[in-house]
Amino acid sequence: MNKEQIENKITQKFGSAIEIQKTKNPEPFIYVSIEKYIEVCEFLKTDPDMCFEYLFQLGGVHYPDDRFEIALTLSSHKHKHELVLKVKLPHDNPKAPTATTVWEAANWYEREAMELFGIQFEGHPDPRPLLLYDDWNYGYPMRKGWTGPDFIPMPDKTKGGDD
Amino acid sequence: MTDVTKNIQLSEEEFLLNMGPQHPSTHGVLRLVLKLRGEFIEDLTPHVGYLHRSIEKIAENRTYAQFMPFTDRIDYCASMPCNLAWALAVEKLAGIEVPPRAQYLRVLMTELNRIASHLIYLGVMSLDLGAFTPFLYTFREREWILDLFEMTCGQRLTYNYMRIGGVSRDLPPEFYQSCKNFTKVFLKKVDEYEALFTYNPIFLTRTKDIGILPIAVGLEYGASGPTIRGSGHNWDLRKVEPYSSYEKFDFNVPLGTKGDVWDRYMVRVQEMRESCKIINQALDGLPEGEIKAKVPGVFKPPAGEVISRIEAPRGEMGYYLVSDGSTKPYRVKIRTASYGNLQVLRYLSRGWKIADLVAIFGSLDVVLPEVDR
Repeated sequence: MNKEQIENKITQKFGSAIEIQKTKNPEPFIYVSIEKYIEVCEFLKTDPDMCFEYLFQLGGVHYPDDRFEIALTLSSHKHKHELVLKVKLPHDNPKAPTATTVWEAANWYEREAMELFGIQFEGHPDPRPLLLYDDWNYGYPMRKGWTGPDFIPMPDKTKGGDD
Repeated sequence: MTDVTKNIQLSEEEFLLNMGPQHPSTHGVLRLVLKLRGEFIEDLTPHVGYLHRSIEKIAENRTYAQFMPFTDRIDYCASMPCNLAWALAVEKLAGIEVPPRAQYLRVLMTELNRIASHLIYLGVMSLDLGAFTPFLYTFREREWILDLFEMTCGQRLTYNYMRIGGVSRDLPPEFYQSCKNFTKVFLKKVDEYEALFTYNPIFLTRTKDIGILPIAVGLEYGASGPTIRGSGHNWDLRKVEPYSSYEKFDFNVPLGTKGDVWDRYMVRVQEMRESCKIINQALDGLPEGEIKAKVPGVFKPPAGEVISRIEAPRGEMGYYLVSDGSTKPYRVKIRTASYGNLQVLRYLSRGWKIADLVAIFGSLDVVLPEVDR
């Protein structure tokens, strides 16, 4: 299916829970509301026209005003198409249901987002930290504006060429 | 240190064994906590993160061009593909057209790097299985490839060769002949490796029918590259979603049948031969012209989001890039092949002995800095 067909089918099925993002990319970029997140994931994986059986990556993004999103890149090896699924998380309490029930691969990606962004994934089977060391208690380093004991921000030099 | 044994229930015959972080077979620093019954593995918990350098955070504090050398460090055994994926992501975002000569040079270097990476796999895997000699042989050939890289970009390990819009340097005059000689000699060397390994009874005992990966399980856990192709899953991004003019090259995608350690070995050995084919085609068909598109010195791509995907030696790698229209990327999420491949290890090693775990782990060709980033 091409970009328009995927967008149409998913909008027909879920209606107002879906918001199509206008981009120049060949892949559809789709926002889904947090209530329908797991339902949409299951649909994307199992529907014979969609068949997104492969989770390419899952990562958090911290936008200004403390707004968090998670972005999933999905790929279908059967139909050879891709999709970026994004979820806006609640402002004060970034929390999402876990996608490990749909794709096992989400396990480590969610653990990573949990410790680096402080996004909670409810129902995660193994919510231990993944990358940071055991005694880490300096907060969530991938959040914008984070500073820690050894963190020195780069001086802002916009001058300078490529080579 | 937190107590890893805390939540593990053990019966009387079971016990825990710590393997790593410094273990000869972990190729970097990986800690495995094994739950054993006798010599058999009941369960396994990988602990990663010993090489975490937070490259994603670094990216947010560097300009697009400044981040290129950092991509080298994601996977130092195969830096060129990491460079390439970053360049492709930024070019996609900014809509930059790469000149044909640069595209061919990228393919040439990526394939040379693929061979170098598979040679490391082959040598180190043989070390893990107790054979020392093949390691010396494979590193002898790898040395030649590193010389070719040094000739072109001055570096032997972290190349920083690609640029946004092209590559940094053209080939030196002596490159063509040396590279041609290499492919000619190397194909004979692959036969030599095969004579040492492929039907060697000891190697067969250690690898045949060990650690079988069904395709469905591999996809579920996010395995990719030779790991999943060893199970017979025909999926190679160079064919499926050609980038950097891969559609102009004629090569095959080697597939395994069963998905055991031996199949994954065979896929990689055959991929080295296919890469030689691509290198020869790239050398002979190298178009004339520019090696770099015109990119402004202060480079500001439009705001937006892109994803890029390529077939690195270990599998699919790619970037999810968010730009806010400034000189620095807003967010870079790096997806690497070993991340998915290492997640499968737990499934694969259950029920096997510790000695088999070493073979299984070797066959996944995991490079730890790529997992930790």
